[in-house]
Amino acid sequence: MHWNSIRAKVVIALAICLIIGVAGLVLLMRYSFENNSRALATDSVTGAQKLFSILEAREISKMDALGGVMIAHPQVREALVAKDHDRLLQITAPVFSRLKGQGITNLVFHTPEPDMRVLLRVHIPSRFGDSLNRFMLKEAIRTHAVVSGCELARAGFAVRVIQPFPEAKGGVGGYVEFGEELGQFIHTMKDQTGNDYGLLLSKKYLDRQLWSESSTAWNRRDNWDDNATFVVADQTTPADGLMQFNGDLASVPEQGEVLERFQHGQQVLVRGLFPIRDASGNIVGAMFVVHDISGFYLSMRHTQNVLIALAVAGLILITIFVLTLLSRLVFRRLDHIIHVATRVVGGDYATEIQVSSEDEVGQFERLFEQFRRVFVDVLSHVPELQEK
Amino acid sequence: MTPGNLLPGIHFDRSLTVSQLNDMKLLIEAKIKADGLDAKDVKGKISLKSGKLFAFINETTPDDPESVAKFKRAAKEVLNMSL
Repeated sequence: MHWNSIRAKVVIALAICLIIGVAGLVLLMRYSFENNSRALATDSVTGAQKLFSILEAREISKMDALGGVMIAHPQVREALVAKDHDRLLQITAPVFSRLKGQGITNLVFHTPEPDMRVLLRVHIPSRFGDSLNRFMLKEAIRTHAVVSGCELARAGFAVRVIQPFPEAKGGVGGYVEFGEELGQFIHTMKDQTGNDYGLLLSKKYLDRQLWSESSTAWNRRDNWDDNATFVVADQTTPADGLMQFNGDLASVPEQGEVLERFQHGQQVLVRGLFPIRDASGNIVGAMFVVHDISGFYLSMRHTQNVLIALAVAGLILITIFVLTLLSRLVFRRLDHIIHVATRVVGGDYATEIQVSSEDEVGQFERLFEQFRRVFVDVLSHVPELQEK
Repeated sequence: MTPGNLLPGIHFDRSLTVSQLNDMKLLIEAKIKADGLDAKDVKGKISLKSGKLFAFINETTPDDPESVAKFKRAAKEVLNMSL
């Protein structure tokens, strides 16, 4: 097959079609994959945000109920009003040990204002007598009502409920505060969704020294220097490096932000994060969401390979079909015309061109046959040839 | 080059011709006959390639250099025959 024959040109044209088709297919699959993986990441972030809200509401409701029980307990009330640290610990320690199994990590009793101080931290009984300057406590003092929400202490972030102990003669006899570290939430969320989560806390709301001390107390690696503006308070995966974010947590949009897709070993992951506000409305951290789309990616690759194989096979079949069709309709008939024309020139004046169809090539066959007859007629009048 | 015994087993009477083109024509015809080729097809191809109708070549055909060269080239291409 000569390179500038019609056959070669058809094959080249179909090969170009194949390349363009396969490239288009790959691009389409990539585009579709990008869109779908982004949609999956968005769903993961949105779903995690909803789940977080549900868990937060559930835990607040639970701690609210526990606070009610605590307030109704006469011995607790008496010990609090009497500011009897040891007595209060004796009564509440057994309760707290049971509540720890329910996820409660903090139980604090505060003396009433104006010199509000920590009377007892049931979770750390040795630390008491200090004065806290937190928004939720101020709100509880201001409203004398139940205050709930997330609040970042200098070494950790927790969902908290603070309830006043109302006195019979009016006023407040003290406050009880329940708290649940948000780090625990992410493990519950992982159990429910299968995604990995990380709790990021903005450094500007944390105390370096306390973070170091709490890291030691909780057998946690001191990761303060891992990131410039935030620390990873807890995460559900042991793999370091998944919680990568270079922006400012305060600038994460309310509905969350989807980050880039990335590969971690054999896994293909999408990730995003949504902001977490404290009770005062400040964005003090963010929940990082990592969703494994390896299965989806492999499925897409498989589909892509199948489609490419089908496209190649299809185009090869089309090429064979087109070439066969062209051979029957054009090439063979042109070959026959050339063959007859050559023989006529060589002296065979008897072989005729059979018009096989009324198509374009057929019209040429007819024309050539007419030409052949004229040529033969001319030759028949050449005296030199007649003599032979 | 002696056209009369150019190819093994192919001979013609050189004394009968005065035209080089005719000599070559006779050589080709002898080759066709010796190899059992399709005479009309071979002559047609050589005629088309050389631009010289085979049937019109005879002992009186004048030898212009261009025609002779074309004829030789056509014979070489069609029959791989050096004249």
